[in-house]
Amino acid sequence: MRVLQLLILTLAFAACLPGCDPPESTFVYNTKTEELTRDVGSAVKERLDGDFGSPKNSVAWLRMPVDYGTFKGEVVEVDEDASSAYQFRVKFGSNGDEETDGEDEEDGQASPTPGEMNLAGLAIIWKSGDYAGGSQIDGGKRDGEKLATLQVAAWSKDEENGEEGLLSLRQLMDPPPAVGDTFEIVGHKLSFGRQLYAAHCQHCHGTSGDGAGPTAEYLNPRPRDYRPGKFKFQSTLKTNRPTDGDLQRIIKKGIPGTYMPSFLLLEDDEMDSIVQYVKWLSMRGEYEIKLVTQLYFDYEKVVFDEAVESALEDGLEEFEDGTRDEKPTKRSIQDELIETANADLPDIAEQESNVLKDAWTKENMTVVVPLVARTPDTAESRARGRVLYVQNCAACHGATGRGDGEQVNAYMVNDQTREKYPEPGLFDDWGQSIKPRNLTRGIYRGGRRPIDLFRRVFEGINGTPMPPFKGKFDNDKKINDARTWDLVNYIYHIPFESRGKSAGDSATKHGRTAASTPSTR
Amino acid sequence: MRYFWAAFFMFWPIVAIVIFTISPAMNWWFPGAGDPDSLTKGQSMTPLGVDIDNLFYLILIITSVVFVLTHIALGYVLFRGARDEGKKALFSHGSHALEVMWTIVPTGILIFISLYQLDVWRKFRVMSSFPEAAVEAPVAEVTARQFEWRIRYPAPGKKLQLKPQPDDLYTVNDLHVPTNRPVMIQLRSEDVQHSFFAPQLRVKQDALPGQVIPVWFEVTQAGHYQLTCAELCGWGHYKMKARIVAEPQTQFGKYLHDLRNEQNDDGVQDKKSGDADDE
Repeated sequence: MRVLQLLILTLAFAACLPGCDPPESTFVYNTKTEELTRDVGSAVKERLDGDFGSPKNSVAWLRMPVDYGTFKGEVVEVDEDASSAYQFRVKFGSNGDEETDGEDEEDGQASPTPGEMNLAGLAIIWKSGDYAGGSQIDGGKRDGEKLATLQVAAWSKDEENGEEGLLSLRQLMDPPPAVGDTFEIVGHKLSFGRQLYAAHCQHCHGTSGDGAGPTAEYLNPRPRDYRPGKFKFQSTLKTNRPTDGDLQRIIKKGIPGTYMPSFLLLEDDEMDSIVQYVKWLSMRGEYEIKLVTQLYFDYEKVVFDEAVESALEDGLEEFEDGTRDEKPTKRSIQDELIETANADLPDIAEQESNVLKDAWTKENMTVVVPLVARTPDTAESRARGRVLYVQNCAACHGATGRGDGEQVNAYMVNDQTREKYPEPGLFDDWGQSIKPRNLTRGIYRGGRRPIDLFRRVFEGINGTPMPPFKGKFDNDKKINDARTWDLVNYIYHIPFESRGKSAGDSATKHGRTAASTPSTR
Repeated sequence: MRYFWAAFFMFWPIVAIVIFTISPAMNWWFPGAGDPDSLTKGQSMTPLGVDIDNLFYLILIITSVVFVLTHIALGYVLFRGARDEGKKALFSHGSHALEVMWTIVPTGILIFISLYQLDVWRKFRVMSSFPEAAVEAPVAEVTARQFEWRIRYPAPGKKLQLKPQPDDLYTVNDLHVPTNRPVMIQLRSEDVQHSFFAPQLRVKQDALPGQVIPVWFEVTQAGHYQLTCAELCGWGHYKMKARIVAEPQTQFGKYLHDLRNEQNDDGVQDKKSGDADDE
């Protein structure tokens, strides 16, 4: 009896050790994608998966302006007798003399070496030799930019020389590469970024970056859904994407007043990889939205069924008239329409991916820089700012800055559906109720530097009802910026104004009198 | 199997002694012990922390000695019982003298410990005993919130006020303090209970919503130290790691100066402080 008990206990303990397999992590598709008629929907999904892959097997789509991370290397030794090869010796770092591609960013700098890094699953592209250009091994490649063909299986660094080592591939190379062939291994930042994203971000922002991770429902405000490609706090124009620096700043500093904490202690390479992964995730989401938007008008399930019905009627009429040879069936009409969609899809994808690429290209972003320096923070400046505030801001942020302007009680119209929201108040582009910031608390989500406040006022906040005020204060750009600074000066003063004195009279001595009496402990 | 229980109880004091002996080398001791590259090498980086460590060692020695001795005694009794088979057990209603002894001796030890530690406790917790220099000019206000540490410094040359001032300087998860002088922070919580824990400095203090709790320490060696939350404060508790950067006074002054420049960045005047914007 005792032996049996012991046995059961041992078995139960043993069963705990391996645990359960975690669920397979997958990207979820947009609800609108699911609303497309089945064949078109699956074509979109297939296209999306081909271009971006899955969380575990992500594709570094070179067209997108993401820094996937590249290691440049050169073959130094191949088994001479073999007619094919899985494995060969390579050297990373300073490779060759000719880097004439022109697209390489870091000239003059030593190329990074992978060191102890795990390279398994990353793509390898050949830059010289027979395999250059990828023409001979073209497996899953669609447009010569995709990189899912040859994958690294393992990399083991030599003990004494960190730059050299043995590289093995998952696929056989037949014939083997020649000594001196150069190659690039691409995507280590993407896979590192994915690991870090899974550890730090995913439980709120979701595997797909849809802001619907398991902890998301407990948070107010909700975590950002990256998929529409809209980011609130950026240094660039409202219509632009944020720079890498903007994303880094938010990750480092967190967003006070929200659940986004500071990740200041991430190492530089970790930070870089996370930023690249978030950008990549946002591009994937927006690419899907863009593809679906192009097709939604014609291929949404209900619309499509109606279109099939009417086309069938027309077709039958034509058949009776004799202008059509075959008698159309519902099936044939469906096939016809879907074929059109499938024929259009590559063009749409090409076009939309280019739009996306341009949007995220750094050169196409304009960083907002004030034309004039900050106006000194004087009582006069604040008084001018107060006037602007009452005219432009008070409707939402309230006369005293408490975020209780009359708009909070008004019924707003949804931009997308052109219908009024069922509840009063403001809503953001993600459909969440949103409150105008209470400016008396001195919490500034997008950063508290003058330049941050200037940019919030000047360009507005993307995805929210906060509109851009550029050019609203004066026709002359310089004067407009100077007046924006007046407003910023006043906004800084609001938390101290509410302590009993108004802007004018406490302005000169606010630092000492109005605020410095310590209250009870 | 006759001597099983005797062996069983003799086994544990041996394990305890072995663990005590090897743990510094295995890095099971204070943070950094057994790691030659570590900044602290297991030592406290604050003078008061050394006193706290000594208290810890004192209690460790007392409890170890008691533990080992009682187990040896227990093992011996069991051994004797197992060896002398067939010998009749002694029936006893207890010994008054013995009971008085084992009540008075532990009481004495406990009273000794409680009196002996009072001085350290006073220095660590009683505000009237805090070093005057630290109390006069608190270096920063640290506000714990789910899930980060928000830090507010007074402007250089000014004193920290209880309420935010227009020229205060703000950082997050990054507390800088000068070395070799006692510094005090004002600890607050914005939401739930947190705990300010700097293991290498031997500082641990709960942060309570609605209270401002003064905490002082003096770091003797410049360097980066961990700051974590030691009170389970919600699902993101593990995210609350920050750093304490101790640096000489001049560098600390420069840090505040740079922080002020950064915080006053208007994107025009001081290009240098526009840091991460154009990467």
